[in-house]
Amino acid sequence: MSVHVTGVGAVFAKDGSLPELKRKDVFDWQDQRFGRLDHFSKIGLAATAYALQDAGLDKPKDSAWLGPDSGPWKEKRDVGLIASTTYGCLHTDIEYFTSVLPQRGLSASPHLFAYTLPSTFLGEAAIRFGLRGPSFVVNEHHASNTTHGLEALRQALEIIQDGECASMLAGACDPGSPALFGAATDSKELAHVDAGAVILVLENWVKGQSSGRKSYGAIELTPEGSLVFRGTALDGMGTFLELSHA
Amino acid sequence: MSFSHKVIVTHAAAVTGLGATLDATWSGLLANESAIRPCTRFDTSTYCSGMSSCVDGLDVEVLDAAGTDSTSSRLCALLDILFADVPKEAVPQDAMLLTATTKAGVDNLERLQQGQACRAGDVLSLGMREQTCVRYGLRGAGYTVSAACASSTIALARSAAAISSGRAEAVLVCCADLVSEFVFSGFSALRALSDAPCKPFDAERNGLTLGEGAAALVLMSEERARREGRPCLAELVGWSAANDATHITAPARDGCGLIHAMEQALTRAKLEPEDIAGISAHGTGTVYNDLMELTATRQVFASALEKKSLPMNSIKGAIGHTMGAAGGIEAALAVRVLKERVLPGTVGFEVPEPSSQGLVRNTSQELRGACLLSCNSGFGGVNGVIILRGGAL
Repeated sequence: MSVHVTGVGAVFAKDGSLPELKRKDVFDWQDQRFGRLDHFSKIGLAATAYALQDAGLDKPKDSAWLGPDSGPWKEKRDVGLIASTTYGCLHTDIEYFTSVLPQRGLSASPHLFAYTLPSTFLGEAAIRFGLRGPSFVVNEHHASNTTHGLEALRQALEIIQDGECASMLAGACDPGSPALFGAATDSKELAHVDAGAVILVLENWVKGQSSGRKSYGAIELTPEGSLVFRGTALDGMGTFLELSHA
Repeated sequence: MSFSHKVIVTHAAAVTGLGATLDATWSGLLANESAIRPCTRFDTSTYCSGMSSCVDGLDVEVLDAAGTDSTSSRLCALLDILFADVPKEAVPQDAMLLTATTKAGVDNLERLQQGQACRAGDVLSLGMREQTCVRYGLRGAGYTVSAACASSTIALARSAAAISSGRAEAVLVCCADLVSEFVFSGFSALRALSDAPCKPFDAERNGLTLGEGAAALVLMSEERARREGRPCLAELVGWSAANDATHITAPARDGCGLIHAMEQALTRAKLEPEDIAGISAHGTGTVYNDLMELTATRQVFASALEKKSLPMNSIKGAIGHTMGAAGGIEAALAVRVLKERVLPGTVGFEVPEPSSQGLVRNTSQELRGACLLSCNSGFGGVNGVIILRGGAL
């Protein structure tokens, strides 16, 4: 079995800040919910959307489908999504609990609460892209910028190799450490990761090849558990991005 | 990839509001006890419920009196209670560690936001992993799974996949979640909390009750378990995870994600629906979750239900909804269910939801077979299913 990367999507910080994404930056369809998503979900969903758009897999074959506002996918796909993160939705958590404190919960935001799980944005992607495969977040705690995302890639490759799904989405999404953590007693021990998101589309290449799809190259999980992309050891998403654009 | 290695549960432990050990929780369930009480952890007067299931010994006053590090999350103390029931010799030092939680030490986030000095690592579940690794001398390989209320079920599924495929020989799965004002306020704001102790699958159910707890399971390949003379408590034969891809906070009304996960787990286990002797359901006590599970169960097991009974239960009426720890606690209890061939009654179940008739009871039911299916669902449309087999292994 050969697994290839057929789509790449990313959201990078510029001058240290992530962009404030709007619906039209990400989708060409109407999406009433997008503007109400928390920032973490927006960057994760955007990277996922860009990756699927890059792979040509972002819309159903039904040309009458006009986006999630017109209803769910009629035929959902056995594609899952796994994302690595270190700080997850912590910025959203802080924003949510700030809404709780003043009146001991009377003004707590039910909308924000739904996004105080780092896995919620995977659900947003699943709804918009008809993804019914396994979806979960893996927390990496000693990740640096170079190693970030590798565990998600590893899990996704295992799922494809095990025959559970022919395709998976995998990558990393991180808002970076919140300023609040500067006051913590262990602040100096916490990992530093840049904010941003990178998501890859991984496909069992036999399937992709027969439909004339493009490939960035083969990605492989060795028996020792290492990741190799086009023959080069992959030590992080940064290395992947360099190799994929070489 | 071939799944040629059997996955054996060699140790199971749990801490819930019913008690500090798996035995205590099991005994409490068989006696139809409930650990749901008025919550004294924080002021609940502004919330739509005042009930929760809390673990004894985690109140700040108790921890302070015991000289516990005041910068640590209460999660650390919860794990200490759990680890007292997991001897070091039960966990090989080369075991991979998979942890599972939804909010980890969120009490420390609450404290940081209120200007109190404490550890941020505990908020990230970093503290949970470090504490477990230090306790058992683990080398640190592994990761934390975050998948809402299916977190520990998916952690068990990934562990089983790793062992079955030969990528790992042993995995310690450790899961935990606290009762916190953070989560309590959120479910109250969503109007998802029951004002009284929750009533899973009851026609008059009106929401969930939060609980806290932790569980630890050691999974091992059969070859290694037998080589080392480990107890073979149960076999994990099937697993799957699937997404509804329908709604962010509500389950799909047609149960599509859970149906898919159940069918895939059965296929993985090479079992037919008729081979399942009982179901440990998620059973939160919310109107829509319980209805969804009954819909999914009646579809997947339709032919089986024509031939035999299929006992189904939820333990959340007794211990509350323990969020990311729910699946792990239910899996640990599954070991006892399979050993004693008894599925405890569902506490709080009195007036059956019509489609629960014949499936759910508030008294214990005999398990007439060797296989139990356990399922959990959560925000984001996640669903996780595992199937365990007892009997001669």
